[in-house]
This record gives sequence, structure tokens and C-alpha cells, in this order.
Amino acid sequence: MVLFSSMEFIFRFLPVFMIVYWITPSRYKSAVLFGGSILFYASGEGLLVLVLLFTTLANYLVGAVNWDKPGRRRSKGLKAQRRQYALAVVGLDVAILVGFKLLAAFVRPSLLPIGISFYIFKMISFQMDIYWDRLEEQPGFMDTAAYFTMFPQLTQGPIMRFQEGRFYQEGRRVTLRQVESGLVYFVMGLGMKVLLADRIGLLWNDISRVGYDSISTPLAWMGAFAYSFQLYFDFWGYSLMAGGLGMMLGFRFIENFDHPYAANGIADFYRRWHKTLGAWFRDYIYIPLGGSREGALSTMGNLMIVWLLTGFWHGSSLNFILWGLVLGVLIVIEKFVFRWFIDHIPFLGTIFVWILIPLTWVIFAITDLKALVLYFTRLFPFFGGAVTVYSWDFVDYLKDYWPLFAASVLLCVPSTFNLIVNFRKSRAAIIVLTVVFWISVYFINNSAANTFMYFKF
Amino acid sequence: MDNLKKILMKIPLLLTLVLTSLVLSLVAYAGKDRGYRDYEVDPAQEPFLSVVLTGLHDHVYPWTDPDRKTEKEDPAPEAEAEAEEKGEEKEGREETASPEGEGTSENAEPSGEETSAEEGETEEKPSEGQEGQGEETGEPEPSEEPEPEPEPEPEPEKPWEPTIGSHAVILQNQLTAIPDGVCSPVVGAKDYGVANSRYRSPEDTVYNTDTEGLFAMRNFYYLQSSVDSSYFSDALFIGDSRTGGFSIYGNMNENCSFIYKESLSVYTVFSEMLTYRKSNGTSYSNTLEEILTTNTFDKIYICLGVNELGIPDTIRYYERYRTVLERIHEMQPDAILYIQGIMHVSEKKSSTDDTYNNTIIVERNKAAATLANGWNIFYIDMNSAVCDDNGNLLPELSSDGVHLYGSQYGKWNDFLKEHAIVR
Repeated sequence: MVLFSSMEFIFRFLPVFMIVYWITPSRYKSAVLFGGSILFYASGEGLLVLVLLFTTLANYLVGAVNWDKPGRRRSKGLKAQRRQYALAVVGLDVAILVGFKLLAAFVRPSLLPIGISFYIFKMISFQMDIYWDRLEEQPGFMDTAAYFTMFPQLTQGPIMRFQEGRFYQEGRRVTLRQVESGLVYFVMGLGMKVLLADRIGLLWNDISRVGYDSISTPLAWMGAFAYSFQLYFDFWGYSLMAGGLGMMLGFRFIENFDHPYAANGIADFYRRWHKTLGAWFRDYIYIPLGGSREGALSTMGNLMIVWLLTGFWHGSSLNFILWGLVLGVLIVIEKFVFRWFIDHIPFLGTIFVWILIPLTWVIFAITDLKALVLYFTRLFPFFGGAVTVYSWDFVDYLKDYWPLFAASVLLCVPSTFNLIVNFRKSRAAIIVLTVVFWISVYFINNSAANTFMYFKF
Repeated sequence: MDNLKKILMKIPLLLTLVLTSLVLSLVAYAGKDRGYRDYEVDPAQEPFLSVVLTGLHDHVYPWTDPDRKTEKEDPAPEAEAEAEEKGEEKEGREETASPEGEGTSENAEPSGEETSAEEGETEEKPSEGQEGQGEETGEPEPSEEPEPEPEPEPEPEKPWEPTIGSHAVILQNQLTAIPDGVCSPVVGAKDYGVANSRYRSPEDTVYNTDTEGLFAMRNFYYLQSSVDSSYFSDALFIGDSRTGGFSIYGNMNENCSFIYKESLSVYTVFSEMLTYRKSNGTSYSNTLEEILTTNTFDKIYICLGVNELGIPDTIRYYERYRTVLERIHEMQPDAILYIQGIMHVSEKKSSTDDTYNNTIIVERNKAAATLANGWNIFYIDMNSAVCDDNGNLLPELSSDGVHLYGSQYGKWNDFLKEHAIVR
């Protein structure tokens, strides 16, 4: 049930949990959230919930010991102790994360607890924020546990900071306005994922089925874009759902995507794409390493470290490392060579984004390096490679997929989305959202519940 | 009251969603004894209203009669459409119209009982009683297979009489079994023990050969020979996504025709809009019925069966395959009909998937192969061209273990050229 886009979540877990949560008195809401989230996680992941519980407890305990009133004068001994504790618990968190990643890579993929990359990152940020005196009040156990485990963010983020959760108020109140806005975001995200991402993603499946060696160059590019759109609307849709669920619980909306495909350059793209992850790497890796303060060479080095780690964080196979490496190089080149052109020539940066980003997603998508090279020979046929079996294949696919491509491009324009958000309270918007909701539920019902509709040949 | 209204005005979307859910639940409740009677809902995992959505997909509504009591005239096509919609029904054949006759396949598929009995009632009213009687005496005990009984009534049309050319072997008596070299052998496969018995038929099921009618053998048969690509210029290929891939990547003769759709099955082949495509690239949507009435084909290749793997069971698949062949033959009496065996799946799939595995595929292929008669219906099995010694689809030929890579469809093409019937 760890999927938001499932009948069980939408019609069973969510309504029941929400009603219980809403009628619970404010100061017990964190406890209910913690309990509900553990149930949510255990129902899908079984015993792996123990990893979550263990890290939650360990991080709370160290955090509680290490927390100190910010700005207080501290003895040398206390400073050293705080430093040791922080290093020890962050070390433990990193070891658990890397350990499970390696276990999944070399033993069995199912050994990777879902969402571990996200909740461990939250825990590290929590420890560092305590160490750096960013938490004004001592966090209580239930608040901390609810923060680490809250089900909207548990499986795919966003990586909220403890401070952003505003856990300090005496409990949490939920207004009707928040519930309604949260629901609007949830439905928008659901529609994006189910009606757009899942559909356009089928093209990528079709292409793998045909085999990279026999696709035409136009189809290869269509595939690159289809995969890019799938990834974007899947993740953005998920983030909207998560943000919306958070609002329904009384938190503020955590923005994770800010129209990356309207960005002016690759670096700008990644300031807008998966923002909470980018900000995490910036605050807890890049800046502590020295950021861009210590000269060009050190900046380049820091950027490369950050992007290599980003690659590894996404997956342990070689293509993810390559993906991070390529992005690091692109961003370094952009920063030191093309900056002036991007700043002075309109749309140049955006054109870079639309050409280069889909290519980087191809590297991200294809885990087998041989197949990856093959795909690039189809994208750039002048490098030689296989012969296209049927050179008009893309016309066939375009006939089926053009509406999805059109909708995707349209949604990449920021004003489209903003228009929807601005009119979300109008009667027309309510009707459209209701229709989107039920069509999405129809698709979910008829694909997930019935495997024979899902597996169609 | 005003307060309540104020509150409700603040949450219009939540309110709309709750209300629409209630309405759909009421619809589900209203149809629980009729249209949705046969749907199962696990209340812990999904809402009751999901039957409405599933029903919508299957064209089943609260008022839909699960027993199909509404059909009065022209039962055959109607019944067929229904069966396709429900995906669960069985097409009752005239010969098995009596309840006793049906009893054989019933033990595997209980839901078919009312259906077929019902159909029997609606069709062939006058002869019904007699037929039932005849069968009772002819077949005192229910046998394990849906054996087609000798037809007491005269055949509706005179079957086509072939000209016996140089490729035919003529015998004194009617054949009792098809000799080697007429059809390709059904390619076997390793059983990994994962097949779901729901989709299989009892192990001792025997598919007897008809002694009369379309599926009966005669006193002559044709042998396979090799041909060149011009052979396919008047051929039609009917199938699912695999045939779709073949039409694009098979490099077939440019006059060759294809009609296909993803997820097509023997249950839906006559009811859905399909893609009709010529090898030269032109394509448009049409029904199989329309294509078969407006064109003439010399060879018709049928390649279905993957999407049926998850629908119980093999007996029903066989029964339906028969009906499809009968209908195609009715519309194209001069054509050679090829039953193409279902292509196997890869070892990875076959050893882990309880539905899409070679154990069920081989069982289904064996059943379908018995429909070949050696003179205008033939079974061909291209698995020998794409499988390893264990009958698994070679992993280097496919990424999903089900479809050939675009570059590999030539193997299928080559196989067909080497295993053609000329008469």
C-alpha cells in the first residue's frame, strides 16, 4: 500500500486515517501521525519497518542528548562531546544507508527498505541542524518520530527540514481551507501521475520491446522525451500528492518542483528539480566542503563531489554514477564557460535544457552500459551502429502518443500550471478536478486490481 | 444551518468527491444482485464502488443481466459480444447446447452453466429437445473433454471441396490422425511448476478429433513445403501485439495484410475495432468481420493466445478457438487457415510467472493443434526457431520475454516460408 495511487490508499487508509487524525486533540496529533505512518509502512514493507523504527529511535536519542539552547556559551568539553555525538550518529546513518544500498545491489533488490534514502537524509539534516544550533526548542519524541516517519514523505520525499514542519507549536491545528487546498494538490498530482506519466511511459516500454537496435533516430528522440516526461510528471505528481497530503495534516506545502523545464541552463534546472534534494546537498555537503568560496578549482571539485554523490544516491549501478558525472561536468562547463552566453542570449539556457536534459535521462534510464551505448548510436546515427528496420516507425507512435506529448509540453510552461492553481476554487475547476479524480481512479482500479489488464500483449 | 453551509462552501472539492463516491456506492449497491453479482470485492483493500469502475471497463452496468436473459433474436452475434465483454463466459456451441452436453466442461468453469444453457434456449428452439435427447443416448456419461458430438442436423452449407493438386497425398480411407510433415509438431517446454491450475484443464483432458464437419480429416492431406515471399501476397495475419510487431518488423511481402490489436484474444477478435494494415504501410481501423466480408484471402494466419493465458481455462480456449475458426471459414471458405501456436516466453518469465509461462502455453497449443484437419486448417509452431532446448524463448531475442525484438521478426518470417502449404 506504500503507493498513493492505489485503491487501498485512497479509499481505505486515507479517509480512515484522516478522520482519526482530525478528531484527535492537537497535542496528540503527532502521536497519531507516527502510529499511522508506521502502519502505512509496515503494510507494504513488513519487517523492514524495524530499520525505520531503529533509526528513528537512535536519531531521536542522540538528538535529544545533543540538543542545546542555541547561542549558549559552552565548555570545550561539551563542544567536543557534541561534535563526537553528531559525527557518530551521522556516521551510523550513512553506514546504514550505504549498507542497505550495497545489500540491495549485490544480494537482492528487495532488501532495500523503501524510502530509506529519504528518511535517512531527513535524519542527517536533523542531526546537523541540532549541531549547528538551528533548532530553537528541544524536539520532543513524538514530534521527532512523526517528522521522520510521516507517511506523505516517507517513500519519495520531499525531504522536509524539521523546522519547516513547525513542530514547536503546542500541537497542530488543521483548517478546512488547508484540507481543501491539500486535496486540490493531491488530485492534481494524482492526475499527473496516472493520466500523463504512466501513459506516456508506455512508449518507453514499447521501445525497449522493439529493441534499441531497430528503432529509427526520430523514435529514439521521441523515446528520450517520453521517458523525460514520464519521470517529470511521475515525480512532480508524486510531490504534489505528498505536499497536498501534508497540507491536509496541517503542514505547509513543501515545494519540490518549480517548473524545471522552463529553467535557464542546467544548473538552474537542478535548482528547480527535486528542490529539497538539491537544497540538502547544498546545505549539508557543498557548503560544508567550502562551496564556491575557495577559488575556481575547489568549486569545480566540490561540484563534482556533490554530483557523484547525487548519482550514487539515486542508485548504485554504474549508469547512475555516470549520470551524476555527466551532470557535474555539464554544470562545471556551464558555470565557467557558457555563463555569459546564457545570461545574454535569451532562451539559450532553456534550449540547452531541452536538448541536454533528455539525453542525461537516457543515461539515467538504461542500467546496462552496452544497451546505453547502443541507444546513443540511435540518437546520433552518424556514429554508426545498427540499421533501422523500419524508418517510419515514429509516425506510428506519434499517431498514438501526440496528445500526451502535447499535454506534457503544455504543462512544462509555468503559466499553464499557475493558471490552474489560480482558478482552483472556481466551479469549473472543481468539476474538472472531480473528473480527473474519477478517471484516474478508473485507471488505477482497472490496472492494479486486475493484472490481466495490466499485462497486455 | 447557515454555519453548516459556510463550512461546506469551504470544502467544495472534498464535498464533491465524497458525494460522487456515495452516488457510485449506491450504484454498486443497486447492481449487486444483477450486473455486479459476479464481481468480488475485498472490502479491506478496495471500496465497493470499484465494481462500478470494473464494470464500466467490461461494459457491465447495474442493469446488465448476468444471465443474459434479455436476448431474444439473433442470439449468436449478441451472445458473442456479451461473452467478450464479460471475458468470463463461454460460447455455447450448437452441438453442446443441452445441459448434459455442457456438463463436461462445466466442472472446470461453473459460471458458464447458466450462460450456455441460456443460449441453448434462445437458439435453435425447435431442434433443442431432440438434440438433448440424442446426446443423452449417445453419451450416457459426461466425459472429460468437450467432445464435439456428431451433428444430427444437416450441415448449413456445403463445405468447400478442394482441387487436389500435386502437393496432396490421397488415401483410401479417411484419416484418423494427421501424419508428420502436415503440421509442425507442438514444441514442448520445461515445466517449472509455477503454472496456476486455474488456467489449466484437468490433466486427463482429451481433445477428440471430429469425424464430420469442418474439423474432420478427409482422405487426403497436404504436406508442408517451402515458398518465397510472394506466397504471402494474398495472406492475412490476425493477432495481438505480436502480430502488430510482425507487421512492422517482419519485412513481409508488401501486399501482405495484417489485422491486429494489443491484448486481442479469441474472445474479442470479432468484437473490437482493430488495426488493419498492409505491409506497404497503409493502415486504418476496422473490424475483422468487415475485412473478411470485403476482401478475399487465400491464406489466413491466426496468432492469438497470450492474452487468454490469464482467463480460465484451456477447454474454454479450445472451444472458443473452434468458433473463431468456424466463423472465419464461413466468411472465407476457400482460404487455408493457419493456427499459429503461441510463442513461448523466456525462462525468466516462465519460471516465475504463474500465468505467462510455457507450461500453460504448451497445454493451450496442444489443444489448439487438434483443430487442424490437414486439408484446410493447419497448425504451425514457430517456437522451434526461437527457443532453446528447454523450450524457453532465447533471452537475446526479447527484452520483455514475451515479444521479439524488432530485429528478430525475420526468424518468424523465415519459419513461415519454410512451413507453408501449397495446394
